[in-house]
Amino acid sequence: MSVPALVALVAIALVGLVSALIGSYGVRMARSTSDFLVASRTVGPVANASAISGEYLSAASFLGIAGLILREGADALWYPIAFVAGYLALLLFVAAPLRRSGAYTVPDFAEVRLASSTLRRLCTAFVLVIGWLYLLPQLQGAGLALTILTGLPTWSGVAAAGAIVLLTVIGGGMRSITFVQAFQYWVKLTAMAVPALVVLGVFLADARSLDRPVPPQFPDETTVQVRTEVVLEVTQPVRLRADGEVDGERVRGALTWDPGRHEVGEGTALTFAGGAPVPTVAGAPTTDRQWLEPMAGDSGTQLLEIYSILLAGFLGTMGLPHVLVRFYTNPDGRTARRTTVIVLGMIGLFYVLVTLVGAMSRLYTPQLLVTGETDAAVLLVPTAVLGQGWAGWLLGGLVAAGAAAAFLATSSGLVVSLAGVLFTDVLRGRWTDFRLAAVLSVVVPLLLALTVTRLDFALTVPLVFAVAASTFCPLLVLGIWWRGLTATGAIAGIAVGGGLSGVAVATSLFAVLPPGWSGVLLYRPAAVTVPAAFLTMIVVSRMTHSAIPPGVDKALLALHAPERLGLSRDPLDRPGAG
Amino acid sequence: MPQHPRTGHDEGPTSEVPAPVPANGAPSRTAPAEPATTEAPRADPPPASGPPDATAAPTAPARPVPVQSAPVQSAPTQPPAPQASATTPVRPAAPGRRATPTPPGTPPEAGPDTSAAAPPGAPSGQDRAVPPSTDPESTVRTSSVEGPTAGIRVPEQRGTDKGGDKGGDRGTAAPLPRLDAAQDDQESKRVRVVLAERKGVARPVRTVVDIQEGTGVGELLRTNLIGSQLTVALRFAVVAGLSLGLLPLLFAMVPEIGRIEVLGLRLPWLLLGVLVYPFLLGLGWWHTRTAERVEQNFADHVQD
Repeated sequence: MSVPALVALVAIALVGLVSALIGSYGVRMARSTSDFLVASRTVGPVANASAISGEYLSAASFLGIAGLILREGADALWYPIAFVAGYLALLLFVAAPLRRSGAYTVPDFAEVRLASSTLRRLCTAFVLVIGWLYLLPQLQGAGLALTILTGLPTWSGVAAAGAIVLLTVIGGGMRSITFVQAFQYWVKLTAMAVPALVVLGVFLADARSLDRPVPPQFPDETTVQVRTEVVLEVTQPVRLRADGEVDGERVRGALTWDPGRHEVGEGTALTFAGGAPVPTVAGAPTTDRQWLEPMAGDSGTQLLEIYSILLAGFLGTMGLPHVLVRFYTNPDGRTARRTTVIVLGMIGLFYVLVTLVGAMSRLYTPQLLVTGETDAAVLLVPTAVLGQGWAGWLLGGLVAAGAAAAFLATSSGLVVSLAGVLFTDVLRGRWTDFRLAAVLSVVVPLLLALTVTRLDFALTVPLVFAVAASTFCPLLVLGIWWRGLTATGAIAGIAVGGGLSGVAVATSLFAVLPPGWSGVLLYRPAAVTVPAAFLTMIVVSRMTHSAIPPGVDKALLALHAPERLGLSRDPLDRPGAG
Repeated sequence: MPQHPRTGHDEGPTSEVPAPVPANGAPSRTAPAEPATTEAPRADPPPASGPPDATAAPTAPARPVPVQSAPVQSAPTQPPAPQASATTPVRPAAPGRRATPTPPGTPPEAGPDTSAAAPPGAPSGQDRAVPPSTDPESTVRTSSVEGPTAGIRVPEQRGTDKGGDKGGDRGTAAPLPRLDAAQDDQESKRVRVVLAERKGVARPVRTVVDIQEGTGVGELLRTNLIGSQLTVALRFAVVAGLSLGLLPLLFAMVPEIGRIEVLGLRLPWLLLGVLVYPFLLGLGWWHTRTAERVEQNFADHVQD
């Protein structure tokens, strides 16, 4: 194994080790169910905000966003904005009332508010669907990172990530997870800030510009290994050597591509000379200038896509089970709000750095545009900028550590919340069962991750957000603010929103999408499914308004009144419940 | 039950941390404050602030005890007055605050000792960083405070009927409702101090029960709380939604915007890559302050 691979492995191992140590430190303090599930509600705003940010900044954020920016340019900037704006919506509509509801999971909330066991079961099902869908790309991303960094087979990264997550979670439940994730946020921030500053320094010293009417150029002679079949677009004639299948013919040797589209088969090696223009994956902006300007493509569908992403992010964040569960660990509604504000700052800072790295990667790692594996941009930038030497390898190690922290934090957060739901709803029992629940919640996506082909983060993650936005978001927002919501209405709304977005997810994961509006709506379904879910919920609730639960006013009051009036309740704080 | 509200008094206004630490400050402050709280003062400040305040009006009449104490004990206004005038020239913010003499009763409500210290302390904190100490003797201004303290009892009566001319001091209380506009830490500190004194009233249980039962006043307060919180949240959501939602449209309609360079960066990159995040953070921070204030007002009315 090469030196950089070893450095990266050591860095990843270090993150895993320190996480496990911090986790086991938490174990000593985990004494009761309340400790396990919500860290006894004693986590302060800054610690909790670090943990929330640590958990939220997944592999999709750490690797995927920069890759998207590398490929799509200005239009990709909407993704991180949507992810951050989601916390604003969470703050405005959900944070404090949800904390005051005293419920631990979304199903808990549904039951407290609407007293329906059917609704509770439906929510449980969707928590599991959303959680597993979200775990899938995380685990597969771990595999991708390990392959790129060390050349080890993909399944080993997937399995290792699954094992480490399981160990951390089984170790100490929520309390230890809180510390682990807070630690991982700072690892991620460092691992993004240092390369960002280095790249920026090099870029400024180079005095290079991204504002050119030509495609990016290969800095040196580069051989690109195409792992999956790809269609490339060329705007200037380009000379290259190919070994494999090009445009449907077996090729071995030099050839020249004319402007236009060229198909490259799986397993083909393409070698370009230094200074040659970089072909880009078809559909992405080809020249740097196009890339630099917003609305590069067909503006109709592009607008729809952007609005759909914004809607999914804005409203989907509040529906993610691992994010919600964190707010229950705050001592009260006030701190829940303050925590959210700090989170806005923390993840905002991170995304600024990601944007910088993503933009710079257009200059330094353009070869990724050929393979379409742009998710690897962040991992490859250090050596591309600093060259093959200890400086580059160490920086690469740091980035690898950050990527590992990203997988671990999000996955363990998801596993804790999934295990929490499994534990309280499906298994029902003493706290030792929590471990069984944790195992269950890892094994399912692990098996999926090993069997399903990996897709871009950019495709899968917004889909998860869309499902969350079309199910839990209306339930939470209407449940907190509208006294007219009924259980039947909620069930109908979740069924419609979840059903529509579920169909869209399944189609875009397993089928080829049609071009045009319908295609965009299938892989960015939020623009339709979210309004549909809200509308159904409201209309059906209106029709069944005689079924409004009798204690609704009291329940709403408990959600909104400040704690010091003593109107809120907290089941876990009741004597005997711990 | 009575415990809750009282705890609340200290907790809410005095400290950020909601930990229930009633014991220390509570008794000493509540005792003097209780008598001092007049109907007049209470009725006064509410109208000034947001919708929830308005509901205080109904609440007030329901309360049995209050009036007597006001005239008797309400003294402390005078000392603040001289002091205020002494300090005014130095104080930059004073004029602005002056302009807001809304709650004439507020200072008087404070216990004599506290009020003597608090109002001077608060303004001085602005220019001199002297913390609003509860112990006048320890302050730099001992002498000036001493004089006032004697007078305190007298003026407070005046304060109640006089209202207007004490703007300077009253001002310390006034920022409470208007904080929305001016957000600055110092102000919020000051608010906390004054609030602590303001709600000294003891028998709040009624309203809490009212609210829980959903009867008359309680019902009104409750719908008011939820309504105003929702309005606040929606307002912020609309601001965020419009400013983010119009940008893609703008970029599509006027592609030239994408070519403008600011500080060496293309405008879209500067807006979407950098400036959006502080903007969202600022919105969130502002919303938190607004929402906390709504809750604070609600709690005040419930407990009063």
